[in-house]
Amino acid sequence: MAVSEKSVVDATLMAIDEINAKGGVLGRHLEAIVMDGQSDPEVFAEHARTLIQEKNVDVIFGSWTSASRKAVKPIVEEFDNLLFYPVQYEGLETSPNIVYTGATPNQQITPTVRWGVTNFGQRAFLVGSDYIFPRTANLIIKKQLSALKSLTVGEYYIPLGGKNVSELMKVIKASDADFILNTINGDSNITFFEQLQEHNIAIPVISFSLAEDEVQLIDADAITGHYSAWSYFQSIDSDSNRQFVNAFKNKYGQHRTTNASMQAGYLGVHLWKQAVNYAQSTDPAQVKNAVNGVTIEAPEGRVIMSHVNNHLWKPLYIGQVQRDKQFKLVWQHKNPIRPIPFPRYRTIASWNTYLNSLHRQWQGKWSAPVVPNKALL
Amino acid sequence: MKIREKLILAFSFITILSIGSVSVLSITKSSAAIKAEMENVLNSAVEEKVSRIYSYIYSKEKEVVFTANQQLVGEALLDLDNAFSHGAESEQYVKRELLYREQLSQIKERLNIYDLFLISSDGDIVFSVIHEDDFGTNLRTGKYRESKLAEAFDTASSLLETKITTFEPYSPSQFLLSGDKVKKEDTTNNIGYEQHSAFVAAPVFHDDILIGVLAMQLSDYDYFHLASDYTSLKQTGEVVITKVIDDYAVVIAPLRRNPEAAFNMRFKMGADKAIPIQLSATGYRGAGVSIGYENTSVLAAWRHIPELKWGIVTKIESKEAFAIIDQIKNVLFIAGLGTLALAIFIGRVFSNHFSAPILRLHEASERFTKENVVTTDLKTQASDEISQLSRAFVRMQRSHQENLASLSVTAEQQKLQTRYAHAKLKIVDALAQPVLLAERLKLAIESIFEVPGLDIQKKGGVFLADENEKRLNLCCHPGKFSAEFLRDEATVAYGACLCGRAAESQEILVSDSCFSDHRHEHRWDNMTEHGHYIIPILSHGTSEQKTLGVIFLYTDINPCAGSDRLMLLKEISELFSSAILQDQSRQAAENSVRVKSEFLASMSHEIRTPMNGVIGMLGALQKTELSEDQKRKATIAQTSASSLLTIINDILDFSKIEAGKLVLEELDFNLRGLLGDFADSMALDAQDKGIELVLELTGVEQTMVKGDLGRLRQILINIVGNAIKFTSSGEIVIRAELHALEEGMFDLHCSVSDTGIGIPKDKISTLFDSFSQGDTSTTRVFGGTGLGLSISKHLSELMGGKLEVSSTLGEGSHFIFNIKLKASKQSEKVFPTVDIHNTSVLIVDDNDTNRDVLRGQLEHWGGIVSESNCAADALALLDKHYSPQEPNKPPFSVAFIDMQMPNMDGEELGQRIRADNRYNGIHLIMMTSMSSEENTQYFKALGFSGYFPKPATTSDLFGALAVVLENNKAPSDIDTLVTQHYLETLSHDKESIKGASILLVEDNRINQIVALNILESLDLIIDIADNGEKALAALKNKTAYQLILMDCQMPVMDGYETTKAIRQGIAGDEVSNIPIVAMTANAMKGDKEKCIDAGMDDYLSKPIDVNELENIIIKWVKAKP
Repeated sequence: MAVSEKSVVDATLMAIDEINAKGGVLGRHLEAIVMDGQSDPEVFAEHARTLIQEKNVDVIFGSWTSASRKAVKPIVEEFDNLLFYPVQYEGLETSPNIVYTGATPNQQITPTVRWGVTNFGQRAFLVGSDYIFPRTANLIIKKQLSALKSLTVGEYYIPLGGKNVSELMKVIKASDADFILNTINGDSNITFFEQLQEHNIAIPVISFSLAEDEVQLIDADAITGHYSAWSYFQSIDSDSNRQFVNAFKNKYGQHRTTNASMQAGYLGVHLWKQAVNYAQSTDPAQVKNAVNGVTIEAPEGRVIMSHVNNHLWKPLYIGQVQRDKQFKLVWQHKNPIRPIPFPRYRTIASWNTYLNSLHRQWQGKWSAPVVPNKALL
Repeated sequence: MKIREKLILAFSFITILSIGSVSVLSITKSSAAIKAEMENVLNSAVEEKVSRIYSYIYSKEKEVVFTANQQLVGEALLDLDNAFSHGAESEQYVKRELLYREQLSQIKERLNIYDLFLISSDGDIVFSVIHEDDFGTNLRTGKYRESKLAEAFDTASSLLETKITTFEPYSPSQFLLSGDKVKKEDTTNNIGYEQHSAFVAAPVFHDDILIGVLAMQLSDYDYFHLASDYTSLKQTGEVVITKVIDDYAVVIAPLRRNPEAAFNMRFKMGADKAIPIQLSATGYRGAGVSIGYENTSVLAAWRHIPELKWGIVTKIESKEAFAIIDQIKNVLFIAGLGTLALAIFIGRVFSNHFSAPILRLHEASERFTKENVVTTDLKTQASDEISQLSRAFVRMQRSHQENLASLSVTAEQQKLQTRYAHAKLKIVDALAQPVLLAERLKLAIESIFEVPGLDIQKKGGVFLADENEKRLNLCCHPGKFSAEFLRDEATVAYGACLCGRAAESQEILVSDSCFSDHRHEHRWDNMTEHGHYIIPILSHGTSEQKTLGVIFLYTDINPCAGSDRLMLLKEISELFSSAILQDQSRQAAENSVRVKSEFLASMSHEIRTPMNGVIGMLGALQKTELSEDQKRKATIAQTSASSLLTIINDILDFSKIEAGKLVLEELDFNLRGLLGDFADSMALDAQDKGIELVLELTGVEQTMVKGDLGRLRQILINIVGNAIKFTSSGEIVIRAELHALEEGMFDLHCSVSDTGIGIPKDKISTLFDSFSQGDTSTTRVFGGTGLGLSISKHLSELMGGKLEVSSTLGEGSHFIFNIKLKASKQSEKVFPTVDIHNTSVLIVDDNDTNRDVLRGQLEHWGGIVSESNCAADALALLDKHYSPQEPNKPPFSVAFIDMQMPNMDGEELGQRIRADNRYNGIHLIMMTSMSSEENTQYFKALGFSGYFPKPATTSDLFGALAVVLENNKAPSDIDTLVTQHYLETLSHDKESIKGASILLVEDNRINQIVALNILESLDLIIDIADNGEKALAALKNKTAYQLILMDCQMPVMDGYETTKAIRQGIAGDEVSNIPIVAMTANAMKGDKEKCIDAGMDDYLSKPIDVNELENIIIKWVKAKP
């Protein structure tokens, strides 16, 4: 996770610098205190406490995995502070003290699944890392596939960071799938795509956690032609995005790429600034109320902060990887989509029961303990 | 420049500088403060609108999801989808549709939506309540595939998401009604949109498989009212709801200053006016000074609702917002000018005095050089100048003070105006109180006593005019009046004294003194000198002003007669005028309601008579040999007839209440028995739906009370009936408590809680309204006529209590009512005939409420109660309580066991207990929600001593405990299973009336047959007389009758006359005391008294209820020695 987390920090710091360059907020300059969560939920929680109690920060930008967010949540709630969370996630959560700037499943996954069924066929194979996001995403996907009169021809999980995909390859081959919905996270993707290539499996893959950064690490032959769905791509053709990409490259190097989470981290700072201006205060208790209904023109397009659930209305794009390892947009929903963190067909209580049972099953963690995996066919 | 000019200039400069800087500073400061304050107000107003819109959106979305999960919707969708494949016109479809239509229409009405659709997963609209053109089309391929309904369907069916669409014109709904083929041309507005609809839809699953979509259509009327609430927005404040249509920001709801604005007012995007409207419609939020739609400066706050793509703006004209600033500016400007003038004047005087001595000195020195004259008083003159200077200062100060004073006079006046305004508000308030007119007028007069200038004598009143008699009637008179005054002034003729004069002249009269004013004709001894304001109250608005009344106020002598004062009095009289006019029209309305109610009452009475024949004959028909099919048809006919009768009864009740004719009966009755029987009768319906019905009577110690049991039962049926109807799982708890009030009175406090769907907040306030024309939805939801709850509320109020409801949507409703009951002379406390003190009882039930209730009751009687919530726990408890030292002592005397429990059910638990010899002494009593009498033998065989359907009533518990504990018999020695039925037979009186001889006096053939059928089924001997004369003859022939059933209206000789004749001994002395029971279709209370007055003993209302008839016969036949 370290690479991905670091990029978001860079984008966030860039936004802070931009604001300071224009005179800061309320006539004051912003001071960023950066602490490294070391991809460990407990460290995140500890740092959040330090930032609030000792450093007296007005706002926290960060967390990457759902596990780290869930560890920080009780702390920002306890002190009535504010966390801006920049990553697309599984939903099933709201907090008055967290502003979610990443996509919920209904802003990323469900429209994409329909696109997949329309374009590739009715047999879908689900593969993911074994933790909360893929598990929940696939639960939602399976229900939707059934409603679309389509089939889930396979569902397979590998441990977070796992590299052993040989059994998975066999299962995929046997499944006769029309397309693969991929929620594998991190480095495992490299192995996954290169092994698909190795095994001559030519089924199109649509990924939900594979962005520009990760694509750079995968062999071009293996990754070209596959798809990802995000509310932002570096290749979006707009002035505000070009400005953002250029500023980032100028600041951190021409080889660097931008991606959805970085962009969400970046726009979060600007969102916060607007709320501060509106509240005329940096007190988190006041800012958190002032953030509702803020509209800004972000690199991804226009985004609007919901009045009710602290999530963002966001656009959605589907991109196809080109040989230059950038995405070509093949489908887009530019009008921002309303965030619905809890799919309505189950009650919130029932979703919470589901989360709790997973949490218990995983012995109090948000990802599966690493054990030999099993195919679910 | 001369010294004088320099001085004047210096004075002016300093004044301008100081006044100017103070003005600028204070204007800036107050502008900023006022702007911030107004922004706050506007922001909170707009936030309030926003949150109301969200609560609207979210409640609609929740409602559709909730409804989509209801079993009925799933069944209807599957069924109708299937039938629809034969075509919407096919017999199959039409039949199935009819089956679901009522319930689905009820849902639509309850949710207060425009239409409700069921859509198959392929997109066919297979059901619509109002059947517009969209019905039967396909939303993927048909002509409405581009509509918002199609969008909502697509979102729900392919993304499984429920989100409201935006409001757009929806072509199938562009007609008023589906049958209405005339397009609403005349209401078409400039932009061409007529009615906007939004849709919300939710997927419907069956066994986790998507079977279709439930969609609701919402009408734009839902939000129009949002724009019409300008609370806190001053006079020019407005709420604008807007959205972007074709590059225009269009106003989509009526405006305060332009009710026609919806869709008639639009602004090109980018135009340089209506900036807040454009910003909000595009997606922005903010607040501040901007350019409004009338191209004026406005102070506004704006928000965007992305769900509906709406902008919402609250704004007020800057002119009004900053009016106070302009006032401050004016005041400061005038004060500044004044001070400047003063400064110039003082400068002149000062400089004159300053230069004069110099001139004089010059003259003195001239004289001194030319004439050598010495001016000696120079020094004094010099000191004079200083004093002048100081005097000038004093003057300046005084002028300044005067200036200040003139300012504060204005402030004083303003204060006075504010107090006037307050007083007027209080008068308006007083006149709006929900009390009788006279009381309101009195309160209003008392408020006048607080008006500055009218607050001295605190004495006055109102006369109301009687236009026909040309006189005034005293209506109210707060203050101290002599008895003579009240006697003489109760009415005053037009033209007499001051008030009569004012009534005629319609002019305000001001009387300086009662002694000197010749118009003050009426005088009394001890009258102290006073003045008067006499103000006629005139009808306004009509061409010819009528005198409605006269206000008279006592004042000190020579009261102020200035135009301001007269204007104030006129304004006050206008307020009174409105109140009186309103009261008059209300009375007129009430009269017409009463006439309507009387008409209804007589109508429904007319209907009841033939209904009697219908129901009676159907009952008789059912007792004959019928084929299965005929039996079914007869049952359906009877059920329908009964429901029709319920409706008629409701209407009759309601009209009686409206007409003020409902009189309560007072009967001794057994309250516990009533509630127990009632719960029994409802239990079946509850069980059919799998709901637990729990009855808690622990708080009812007194069984016998006196009151109208029929009406109490009616309230309960209405409330509990509703609870069952709207609860699909969980429980309904009826809890009754009887509190002793003062001597001989009780307060029965009863609550009914359910775990049903609950009632939306906005519906609660109208829940008890009877068919009000504005909103029939709520009433229609709640049963046949929708009058049930309204009647119940009236009834509980008539019985000295009230009916209230609280509810949480989705969690359930809680009805509470109380009524006053009298103590019955037969009052006695309830205790079982057996002593259960120290009897150990085990209750095994998984339902917490049930256990609590049972436990409460048993502990109340002295039992020692243990509880288990499952069979396993019960077994453990038994084992724990068993003591090996006393092997023959069972761990519990009695165990009440619930049949339906998870894991191990009551049956198995019973078997386990019986299989264990240690527990031989325990009496097992089964309680079950499934009432099937045929199982009794089975339970007996399992070793149960008793068996009851839930809820177990008090009498059940008594009976069971009494029978099983009596004589200390061991369970195996009791040979019958104690059931409800068994307990009934213990106290059955039917046998005692067998063979009794009864005379039925009734002229109507049908009624004769009905009564005959019932009576014969009770093995009674019946003779029939067609009228009174024949009855008398029959009685002379045969004296052995034990009872006469007497119709009241008969030809030749009616029931009343006949009864009187019998009582007078005309039919023979032996029968003069025979019990006579009236049977009449008249259901009014007065009729009963008429019967009793005529000498009858009791009373039955038609249509005859078999059980009632049976009871009354048992009562009177047995009563005869």
